[in-house]
Amino acid sequence: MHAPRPGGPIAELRGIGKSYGTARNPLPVLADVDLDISSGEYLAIIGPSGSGKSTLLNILGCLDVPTWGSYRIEGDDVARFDDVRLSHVRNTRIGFVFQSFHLVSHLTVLENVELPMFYARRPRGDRRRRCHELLDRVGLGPRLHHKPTELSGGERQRAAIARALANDPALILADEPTGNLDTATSGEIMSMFGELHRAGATLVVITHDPGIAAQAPRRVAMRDGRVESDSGAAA
Amino acid sequence: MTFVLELVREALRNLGRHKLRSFLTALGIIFGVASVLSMISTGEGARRAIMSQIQQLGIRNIILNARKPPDEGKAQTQGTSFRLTYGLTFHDRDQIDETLPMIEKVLPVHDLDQWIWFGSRRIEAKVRGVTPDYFEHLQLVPWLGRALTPLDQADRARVCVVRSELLRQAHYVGDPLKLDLKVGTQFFRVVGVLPDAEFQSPNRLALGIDERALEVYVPYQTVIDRFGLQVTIRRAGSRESSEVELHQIVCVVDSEEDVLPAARGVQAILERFHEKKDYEVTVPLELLESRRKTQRVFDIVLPIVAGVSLLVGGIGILNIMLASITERTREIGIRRALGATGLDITWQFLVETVTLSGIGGLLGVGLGVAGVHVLRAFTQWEAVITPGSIALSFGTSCLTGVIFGLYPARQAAAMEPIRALRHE
Repeated sequence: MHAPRPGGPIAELRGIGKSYGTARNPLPVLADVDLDISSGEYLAIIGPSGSGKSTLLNILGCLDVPTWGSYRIEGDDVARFDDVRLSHVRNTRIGFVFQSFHLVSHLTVLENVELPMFYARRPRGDRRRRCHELLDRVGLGPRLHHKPTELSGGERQRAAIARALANDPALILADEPTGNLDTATSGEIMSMFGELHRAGATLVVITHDPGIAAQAPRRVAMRDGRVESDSGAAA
Repeated sequence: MTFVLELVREALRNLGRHKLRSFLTALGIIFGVASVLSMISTGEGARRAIMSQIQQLGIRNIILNARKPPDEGKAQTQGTSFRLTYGLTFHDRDQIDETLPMIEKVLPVHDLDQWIWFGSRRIEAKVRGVTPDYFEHLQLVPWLGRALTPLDQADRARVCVVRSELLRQAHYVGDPLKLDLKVGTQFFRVVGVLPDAEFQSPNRLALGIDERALEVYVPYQTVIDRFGLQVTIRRAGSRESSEVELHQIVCVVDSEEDVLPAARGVQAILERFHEKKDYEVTVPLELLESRRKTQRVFDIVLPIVAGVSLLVGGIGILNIMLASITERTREIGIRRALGATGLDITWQFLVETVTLSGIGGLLGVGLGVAGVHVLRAFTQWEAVITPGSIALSFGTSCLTGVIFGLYPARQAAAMEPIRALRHE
């Protein structure tokens, strides 16, 4: 089990900027973002669409690299990492939960949860054991061999959460995790995040819903590619 | 390694999801491999048949056959009787033996066209008067009894060696070695039975081998003594008689290198003593050389045809894999987000393509083997399937998979993770 020292820095962003477009016609979406996320923190990033919060999440999740600035995950400067090392960081240190679940549709729930461990080259028996444990934890034990299309939205998102936890990531990133769910299921998913937080996970939830954001102890508001306000780390 | 094995299992499941599509995609490879295999097999069969026949004729031999000159006969059949003398002579034999030092032995053969009688049934056969070493140099090995011996020769014994085909045609069921064969008016004791001539394919004619398998071998001296040299055929109103001293001379050369010079020498001697071309020279070694040349053409054409058919199959696979990658962009994005490296993605799609073409290759081998069996059942072709040809055709199918799978797999790996993930 990955056990970072509680309160220690997980992610440190310094002067992060991202610009799309060409050098002559730049299209900046992020400008000088500074952000520190400590171990065990639960924070919500909120902002209207176009505020740069998705780009920030992509950078946090190593799916994209910043145009400038430095980003350290547990002390490693990943802004300078190549594709292979970024893949490795995503695999071992990041867990993703997406708005539209992003389960591979032709694989069963079990196999979807297995994927991150497959790419970590963990042996099959070990993977299977861990899958059962995770799926029991999110309450999908009996639906192991179902395809995602045979599950409800809430169940799919729970499978995605199990998958995000597979390799004990240092940082769990959720992009509008309740965006495609009804209110009741949203509540379920959010309470699951609450549980994870209490169990010591580091969580970042991106949302435009103030109600969802309110459940996180720390809230960062984005506007026009900048951090507009930060409620600060809850002590 | 286990990683690749797991990818193979995953690939099999993936291909199984679209069975029809996978099958249609593999069809090009299936037909390509099947045609490659059957081409190799028929080529190999033909090659072996010819080689074995040439080998049977003896690589160190020069075979001279008497031929009736084509322009003779017609003009003279008007008369009531005439005598035709042609073919090889005792003089030829002696000349060759004395003049050409590289020729080790000269074996004379005198043939008779006689009826073989089984009760009231008669069978036409070629009675060949041969010397004992004829058996050794033309690879005639009896599987029952013995060959002719120098003693038979010296005794002018009335013994013979027959082809088993003759006994079969005569429906003879007794012990062949107790049979006294009636040849014309004379009786000959059977002392040996030869197996059937191995290849009955049309190639025999092309090689100048007499197509008649019904040969009866008797000692040379016995034939000359008992039947004489002259053959008379009576027809309504005319008597036609011909005299041939020797029907065949087999020259055995001391080594393979000397065969071609010896053949030129023999030809020179014959040209000098024969006014008409009433003989024919067959040099098995020359046949072998010319066969090798034909084979070389085949060796060039075959890979081209095989290459083209597999190219077509490979392009089919390439096409489907490119389409499949576009279709599965989001899956690729998900896998990348979960930590798959570009190389992992390359492997996944490459393994899938190779699995598909490998299965196509297996089915193609099956189809090819079946095709060759059908071909053998309905034609005279000698098609031979060797483990090597199976391995070669299966191997090329897998190689086709690698070659045509590499590009789509690289394309899949080159996708940017976020773009792939956001792809609708």
